Amino acid sequence: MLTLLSGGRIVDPANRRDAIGDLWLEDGLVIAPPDRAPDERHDVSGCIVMAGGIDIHSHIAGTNVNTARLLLPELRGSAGFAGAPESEAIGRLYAAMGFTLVVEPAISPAVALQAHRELAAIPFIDKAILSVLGNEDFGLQLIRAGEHTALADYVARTLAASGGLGLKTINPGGAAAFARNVRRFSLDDEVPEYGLTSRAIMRSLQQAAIRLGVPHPLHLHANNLGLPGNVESALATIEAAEGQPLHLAHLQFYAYGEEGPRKFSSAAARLAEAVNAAPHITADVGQVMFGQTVTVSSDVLRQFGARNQASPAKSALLETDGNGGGIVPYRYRKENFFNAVQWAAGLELFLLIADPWRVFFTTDHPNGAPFTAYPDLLALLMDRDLRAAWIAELPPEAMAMSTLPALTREYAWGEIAIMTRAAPARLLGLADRGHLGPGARADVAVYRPEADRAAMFRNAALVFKDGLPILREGRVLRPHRGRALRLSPGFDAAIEPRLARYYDATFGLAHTAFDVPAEAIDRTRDPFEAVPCRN
Amino acid sequence: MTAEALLAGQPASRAAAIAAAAALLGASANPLIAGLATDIDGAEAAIGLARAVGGVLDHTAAAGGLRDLDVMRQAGWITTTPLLVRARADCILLVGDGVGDFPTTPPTLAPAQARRVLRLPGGAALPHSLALLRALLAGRKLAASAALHEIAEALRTAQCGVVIWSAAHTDGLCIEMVCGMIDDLNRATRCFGLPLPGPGNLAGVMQAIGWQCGFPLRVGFARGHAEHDPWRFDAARMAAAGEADVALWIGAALPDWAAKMSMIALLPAGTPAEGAEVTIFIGRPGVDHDAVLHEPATGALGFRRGQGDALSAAAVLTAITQALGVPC
Repeated sequence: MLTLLSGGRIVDPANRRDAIGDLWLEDGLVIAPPDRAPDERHDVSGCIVMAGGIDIHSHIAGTNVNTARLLLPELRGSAGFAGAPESEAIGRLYAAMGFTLVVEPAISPAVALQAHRELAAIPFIDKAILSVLGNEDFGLQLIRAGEHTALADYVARTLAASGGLGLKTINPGGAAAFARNVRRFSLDDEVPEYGLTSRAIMRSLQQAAIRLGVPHPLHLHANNLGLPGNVESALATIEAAEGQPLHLAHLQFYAYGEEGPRKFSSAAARLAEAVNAAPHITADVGQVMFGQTVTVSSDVLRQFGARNQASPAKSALLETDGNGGGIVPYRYRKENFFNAVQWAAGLELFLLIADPWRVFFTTDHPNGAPFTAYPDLLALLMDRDLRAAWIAELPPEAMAMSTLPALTREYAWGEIAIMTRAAPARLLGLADRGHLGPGARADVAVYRPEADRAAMFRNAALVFKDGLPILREGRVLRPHRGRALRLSPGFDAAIEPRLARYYDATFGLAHTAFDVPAEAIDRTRDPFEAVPCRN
Repeated sequence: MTAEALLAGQPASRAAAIAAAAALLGASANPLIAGLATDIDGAEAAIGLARAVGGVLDHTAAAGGLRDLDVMRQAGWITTTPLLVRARADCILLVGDGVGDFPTTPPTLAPAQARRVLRLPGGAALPHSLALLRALLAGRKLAASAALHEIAEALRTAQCGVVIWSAAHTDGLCIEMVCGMIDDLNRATRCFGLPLPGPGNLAGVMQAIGWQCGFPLRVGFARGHAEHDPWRFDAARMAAAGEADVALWIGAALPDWAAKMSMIALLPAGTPAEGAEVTIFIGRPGVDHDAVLHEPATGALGFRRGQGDALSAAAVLTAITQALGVPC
């Protein structure tokens, strides 16, 4: 079917296009203007037309997310609980905002099958997972022995078997150290029994990802998340990357100094400066927004520490070989000094990191805020007066601990399109997404500008997925099922018998026990879409 | 040749049985979908059917699962997986009944460590024993048995302590006492709980209902959206109170309340089905057909290849939903 979107302002920075014009879609792709009449025409004059949004870091599936659902039935009304919505609502609400690909960034290989079943239950959008390594015994043994080739094979086999689009490490070594009763763990602390520092683990995994040609750089959840003064950790981590590609997850949670009477301040300006000076570094923000949420993290050491602030006062922690997880409900309050500093620090990162290709739009859903807060956050980035109005309602002593009140930058449409479309597609290695040039996947979001920008972003005027209109102003036009994007990196099969021996001796299991075959996810269609590695 | 389905006890075609089941459910004022001993495909299809008919979902072993869940969601807990227990636990405390035995072979990732396996027997004394044990660990001076002192000392000095219980055999307050004790221990050392999963893929069904509905088991759709209420949507209670008129049952054998209403039974081939108006024989998930099930050995969902391609619960439930003719 040939579809024409006529007369909209097409904001497509990857193709250096920002002009009123037409967009043609056929067979799921964007095409050059043809010499034929369209089968379907949509007049989108007065509207902004962009590629479908891409979220690189949002906890939408897996056992930890599902535990959050089971932990908090009291927070769920008939309209759903934004902190941990059920799968159907995740897909529908993301699509309503014009997002068409969301990456769940923290899946331990041992529970990848459930994560993919949950992804398959999320309608409308495409999805992916990042596979988590860096705290499990097998990987740490390889790193300790300096077996970097075998480590790369192990990483590749894990990505292939768990259906991952990239490699994630979460407080590398921190969970293994906590399992051995270590309570504080920084970049140069050693995991007992292994004699490995977090730095060594991080570097080894970073290089494994590079060696394999995984498009997405190692996705790092660094040490000391959430602690006062942890900006030093973040700055040291940027240095530790030694000029090689590294993605820092939810950087806002590491942007804290120890200044002021309460020994808690925003150090976001310093951190942004370091990111600006380090072209190999990318970061997503993990913005805090006010309201009830639930924190879902595989940083079990951090979550153990956070449970004293749980609201409601309960938590569920899981210890495993590897990362485990912790679910701690939390309420960010405007009147709370610390929460207000966190909110300001995130916005500072957005506004002070100069290159929109290297800063990514996230709330670390649901850890900083549910993804349903995105429309408000986008509006704040585009409007300094709106920010001033919010700042006026927050504790002045908190705002004094941040440079935010002095920042006047406003994101332009082109920068929004880079940050939420073009840059994430490039970061994940997806050549056919994030832009609207001929050959691009016909995932398109159409926004009708109005004074209330948040309302505009909450319900896009029209959303196309694979060339078909799926939602109009938040209302479903037709059902649609996306796929899970996965890599299939090659590796030396010699790692297989080695893993088989290890799993049998250690766990009494076949090493294939956690593999995710396509037929375990969907027997009626291929649930996956292959993404090539760079070599 | 054995029948593929029965209508009022007489051999019938599968298609006729599916049509009859859809007719019963479509005409029902308050249908139950219970038993639910099925794989993940079956659970998801059952949710789809329950949505379509405004029905109630309950699992035959839900009571035990909810006892565990109530402790988690009221007080919180720190747990682990069977894999970590095998690999690292150097002290294991078996609490109450239904927990079997545990080998004293050393943990596989710490072979130099001896593994202690201790037991706190079930029965009327268990609440008292647990209270004394927790108080001992909290440093209270008490007149407690040497056995309790030994357990307290073992947990206190363990590097990776694990307490195992079965909610099917353990009172909720005892589970809460165990989890509170584990929480106390983690202030200074590491200790984890291992709740044993219930039968009939209970943990898997609980997970699937979680991601599909946002709630754990005992969910009803009578108001058009999912509602969760462990008391109101208890199938046995509803049957005794005469609140349901039709039940679709998935399990090994019919429940003892089957005579209270019209029964549609999805049973393994060869199971007696006396009393069911409609019976459809299905395969055993992971045995007679491929299935995703919660694996007690790993504590995670896993894929089991079956020996054949027998009819699955999911296929029957989907066919019934389609036969209802309501959009879903």
